Amino acid sequence: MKLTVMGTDEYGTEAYEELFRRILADMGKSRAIDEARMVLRPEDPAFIYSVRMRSRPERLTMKDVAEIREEGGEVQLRISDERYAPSILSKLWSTYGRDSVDQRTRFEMTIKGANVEDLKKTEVVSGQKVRNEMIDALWRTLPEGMKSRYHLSGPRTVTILASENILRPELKEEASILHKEMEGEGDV
Amino acid sequence: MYEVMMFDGGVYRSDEMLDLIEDIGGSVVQKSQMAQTMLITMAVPAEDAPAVKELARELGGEMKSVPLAGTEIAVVGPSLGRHHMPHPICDIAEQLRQYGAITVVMGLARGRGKETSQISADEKTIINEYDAAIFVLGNFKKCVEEKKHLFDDITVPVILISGPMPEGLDEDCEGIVCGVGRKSERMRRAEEIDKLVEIADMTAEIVSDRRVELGEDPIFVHPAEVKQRLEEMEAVRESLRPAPIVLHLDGIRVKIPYNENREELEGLVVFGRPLGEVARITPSRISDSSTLIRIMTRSEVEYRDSL
Repeated sequence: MKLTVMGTDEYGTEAYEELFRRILADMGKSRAIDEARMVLRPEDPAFIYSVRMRSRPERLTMKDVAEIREEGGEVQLRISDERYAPSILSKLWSTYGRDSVDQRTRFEMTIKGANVEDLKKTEVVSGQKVRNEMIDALWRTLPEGMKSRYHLSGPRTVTILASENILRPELKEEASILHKEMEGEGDV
Repeated sequence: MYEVMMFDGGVYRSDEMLDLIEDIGGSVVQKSQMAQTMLITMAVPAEDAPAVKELARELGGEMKSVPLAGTEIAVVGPSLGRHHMPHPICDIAEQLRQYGAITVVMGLARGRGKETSQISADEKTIINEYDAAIFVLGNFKKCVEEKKHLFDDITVPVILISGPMPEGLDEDCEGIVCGVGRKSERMRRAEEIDKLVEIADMTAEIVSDRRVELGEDPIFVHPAEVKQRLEEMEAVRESLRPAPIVLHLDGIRVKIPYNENREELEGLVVFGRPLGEVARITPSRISDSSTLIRIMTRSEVEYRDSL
């Protein structure tokens, strides 16, 4: 992750850079970020965070992350992407009930009473959820009192402007320029 | 004069230590047992302290100095939100516990923000019930400086913990420790542990100064002696709170309802005087289930007697 921090407070700038890295690492989002830029102006106060993700958050269905086949009246499922195993399992449990899902090994399971076509279409991860998680991670890194917030969202880029005061047009403009810069560089 | 110290040893034969404390007229401030370890914080007459130390040596334990024993300290953060809790506020509170203090963690309802931070009169009154207050603020110098109004009207010693060193706050608080700020994880690195020790040492120093100040016009009776009388009360014996009696520098917090026990508390005889004559007994502002006892100074009692 490439991180650029521009701040007016020497101690705070350094501390927030460290804090940003640690919080994102705790939330498991560091690897998802390609580049991040932060503008910290506590005297205004105004904080602008812009983050470009490595890949566009996409909606994934069961078909994308598991191999599904029907065998002897039961549906056999094999998880092909381990990262989504918890989401797959909780989705199956909530849809068919725990009694109908027999997990034989870490990646293999048998589901009773399921329809293959319906199961293939079941959504495992929604793109919006990934985006929301990223915004949540950014909010955590922002100072707490900044309750006026404005956010811009592109295919891969999320920008947040936060302040305690009314969000003046010039601040929004600044956030918008940063957002475009980040988006533009991502397309190159 | 009482000396407060802590026995750190095993559970085996620890009842002998408890018996000795009782025999010499001392008092157990706090007792905690963790597996085979027994920690007993006690207040014993200074002249009998060598006997206690001798027994501790015989039992294979050790006596530790607990500079903050007999105090209750509030660690205050701008909010209870995840931005400030649990680190570093809880880390500081835990360090103070190791120094013998009873600590509480408090988050202000509207303490966050540079221009919008507030503290209510109720919050100030609650903070003033403790022996000292530690305010833990953030990373931006300007924000920390702007929040000095949070300490207005706080009558107990205030220690400020912040990231950068703020300017112009020397008059508003008794001590400042910088280099902490907002944290997202436990303070466990060597330099962070040093910082925690620095905070606890500064608190101990400020509390010690306050003790000296109180010694100039001593309180009528040591809180440990009042504690012994309180322990005889049925309401205290029946209290299920982990520490029903908490010592303060100049009094006691007893966790029983004020309204139901006022008369009995005022009538407790200490040194031949009813407690109501030598102490101010008031309900705590935290909740109805706690009562504060502030012991008057000797000169105050004499003055009231002369009227």
